[in-house]
Amino acid sequence: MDEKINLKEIEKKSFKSFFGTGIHDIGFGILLLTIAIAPLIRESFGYWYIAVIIIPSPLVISLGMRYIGNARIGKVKFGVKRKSSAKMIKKITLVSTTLLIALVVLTFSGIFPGQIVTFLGGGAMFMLTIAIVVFVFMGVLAYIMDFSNLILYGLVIGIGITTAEILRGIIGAPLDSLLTFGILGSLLTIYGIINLSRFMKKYPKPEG
Amino acid sequence: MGVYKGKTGKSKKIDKLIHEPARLQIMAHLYVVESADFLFIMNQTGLTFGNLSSHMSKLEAAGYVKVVKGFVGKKPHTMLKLTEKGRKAFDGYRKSMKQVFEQLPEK
Repeated sequence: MDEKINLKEIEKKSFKSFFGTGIHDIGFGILLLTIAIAPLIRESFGYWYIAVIIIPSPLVISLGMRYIGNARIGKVKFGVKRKSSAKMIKKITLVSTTLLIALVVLTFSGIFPGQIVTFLGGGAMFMLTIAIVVFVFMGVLAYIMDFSNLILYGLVIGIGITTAEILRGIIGAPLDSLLTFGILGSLLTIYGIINLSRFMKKYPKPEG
Repeated sequence: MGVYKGKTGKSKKIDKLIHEPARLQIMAHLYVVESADFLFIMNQTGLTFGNLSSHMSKLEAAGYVKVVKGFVGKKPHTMLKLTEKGRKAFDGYRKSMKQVFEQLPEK
């Protein structure tokens, strides 16, 4: 084997060790679970329910990585290529967060989504479009970040959005999202816990 | 240092300090990152603490690796980084080894 490929593999393996902890899976599973209960907590929290959805997942990931992941794998600063990828991710996150905030403002001010929903041909078609956009977006992030689990997350969100929309016509709201995202979130969290226990077994906490 | 003939026919040397399997692993891992701590290199290479310490001392003495000792909170923390000399030596080693295998006759 070419030695250049070996070095690339070493770098890739080192980088991927940070995503094999299961903490990201748990964090994403928690995000889906908070989406599942969103219609219920909306009544008690008002518009602040968005914060209840957004905050727990990154909090679990950052605390988990700090106290479990990094404490067991160790710390590393990657090279120029990874740094430029990280910069691009920051830019994409900034743009998408701005768009998300704009969407929320437009929705609450009544301008959106009526017009676009009609343009896309109704509820189910609109939700399918959102699912595809989310899946493609996650796919692009997965490619840039070299983190293939993001494709799985994109797929899970895509399936969740379309299934919830289909179920809404049968069992109504809020059971549609509670059931869909509840099941998907639980499955992903369990998958993350299994991965985390494997990781903790493989990398015991260093003494001292 | 091991000796072999370069493309020009002149005798060239293989850096034995890097050629040792454990040190080669350490150097390769440090080559692909900017810096890493002791624990990370231990996990990635599968070396024990004592083994890694001993190899690291040799690499540090040769000027190939820079060891930066500090604290994270109250705990001591050691970051490892390849020096410019270390990077050049590793590049030279890669070229030498490639040349050695290229010179091998076909079966």
